[in-house]
Amino acid sequence: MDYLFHVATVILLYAGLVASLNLLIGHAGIFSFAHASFYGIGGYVTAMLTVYAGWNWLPAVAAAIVFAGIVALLIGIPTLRLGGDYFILALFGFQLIVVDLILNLDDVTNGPFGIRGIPRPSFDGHVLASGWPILLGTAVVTGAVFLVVHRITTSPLGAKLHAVRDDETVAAALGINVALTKITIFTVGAALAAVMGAMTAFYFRFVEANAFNSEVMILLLAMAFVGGTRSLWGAAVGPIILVLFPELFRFVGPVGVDLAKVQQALYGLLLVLLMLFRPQGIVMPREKAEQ
Amino acid sequence: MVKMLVAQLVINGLAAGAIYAFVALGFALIYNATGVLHLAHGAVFALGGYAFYVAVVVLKIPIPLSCLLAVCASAIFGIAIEALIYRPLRARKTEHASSMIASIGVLTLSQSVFGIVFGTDNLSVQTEPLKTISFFGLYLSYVHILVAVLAIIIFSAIQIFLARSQFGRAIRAFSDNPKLSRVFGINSDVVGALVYGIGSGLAAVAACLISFDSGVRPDVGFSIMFTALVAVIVGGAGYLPGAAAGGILVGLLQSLSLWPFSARWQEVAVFAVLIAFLFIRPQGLFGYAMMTRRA
Repeated sequence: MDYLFHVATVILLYAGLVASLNLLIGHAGIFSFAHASFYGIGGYVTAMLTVYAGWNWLPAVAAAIVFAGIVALLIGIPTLRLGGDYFILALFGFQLIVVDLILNLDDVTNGPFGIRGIPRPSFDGHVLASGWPILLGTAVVTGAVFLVVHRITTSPLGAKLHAVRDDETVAAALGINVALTKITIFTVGAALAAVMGAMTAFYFRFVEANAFNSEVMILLLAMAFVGGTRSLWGAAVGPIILVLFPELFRFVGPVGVDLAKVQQALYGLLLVLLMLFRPQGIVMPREKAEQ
Repeated sequence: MVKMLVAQLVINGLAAGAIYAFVALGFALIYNATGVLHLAHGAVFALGGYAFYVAVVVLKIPIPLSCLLAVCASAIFGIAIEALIYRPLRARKTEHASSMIASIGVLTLSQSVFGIVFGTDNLSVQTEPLKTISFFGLYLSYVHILVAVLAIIIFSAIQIFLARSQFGRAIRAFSDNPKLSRVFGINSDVVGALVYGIGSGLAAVAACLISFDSGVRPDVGFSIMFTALVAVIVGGAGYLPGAAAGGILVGLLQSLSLWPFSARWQEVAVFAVLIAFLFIRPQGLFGYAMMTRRA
């Protein structure tokens, strides 16, 4: 039972994260390859404030969101106006730098050892215990992220995002402030990733740099594209498939092979096959995806 | 003493930079002609390194022949990626992003497969310390000299090929204007096969050279790819000698950053340069912008 709770919580954590990534890739056409780093920033700020500074969980999460948002503004304003490929490379560079900084600034982040003993959030003295309470807490947070993503994509801002994604020149000609729209959604996406980072820190009560590195970024991309980057429910389907699939290996897997490598190989193969045969993901029919 | 240290770091940096230059030149050639952000170039590089290792250490083939085999293996891999993945995506006129995502997929897949087959250790063909010659207190290994000689010969050959030969002119025409060159009867599939073949071969040469030194490990493709990308941005991909020069500059910078900082800040230093260049001079040192057109 504990195992089922664990798998369900992990799926929910990824689902919220992938929903926030879809907001950028699928709806705004912003290929943020630094999404895992904002996830990590959220986790680390929460961990450092609650463990080292003894903050309460709520202000710590608020601070994590604000900090990730500020970092997103600082990195987004100069890079978003660059051309598509430049932006992608700059953000991949940023992703690598964030992980390097976490690993190398050991005075602040405890380096490669990570930060342990993050306290669980509590309400009125009731602590979110392991098992169903923390699962419920994660479900509420992920549900809130889904709601925010749904509200944004169906709002006037969502219509602007789609216009900017499909053709920036036309969008600008229609009177949309392209730069402002992009930086707004980039910041919102980063803040949502930070929320999920904080939740992840609370769930595992531990953060380490490798949980937010470029391999995790590739896992997130695989999850996003499996479900389809333009579909809200796709953000849940991708994590369900990619979390459950390796779990099966635990019981019937090949013996003697490094499972993590087999998984990583499958993610890579999946990305190639999806791009060739179902670029819209497995949830949506093609016609709808092209609207 | 400090002067000697800096001079030695410059020599090491030039040698490492020449290796990045091979990878960056291949990437830039491919990028200019096809517009694909070919991140799987790192996988092609790693395959070359492993092919060389297997040929030299397992099959005991003489080194020059092994190098040739590695170049062929990488060229075939590169052309296969182009023919089996990028060409169908191009024919379907899907978003530019699809081929990049597929490219990341190939890089991830091959990195894991190399890890499963060869393990995660550094595999080097060099079993004993490199022989060095010293002059004025500076040390030069034979690999350093080999890198310099090969770089000069191969870069000149590529330059002459692109400037003078029929195929080279076709590549330049296609890079300049794909639609117009099709009108003039240039076959885009032939140009694709040519640039992927040559570019991948260049990566394999770099992989053979690195096999004498630090060796190859599964994630070498990933790290060298991003160093080469920084080189391409610093030099400007639109100008091939610029990409090569960018590689040498990045190698120098990486080596010299050892002097004030420790080795663990090398990566941060390289990416700080990337970000700085993107902010201040995105068109590269020589003013030939990279991402100006879409395939």
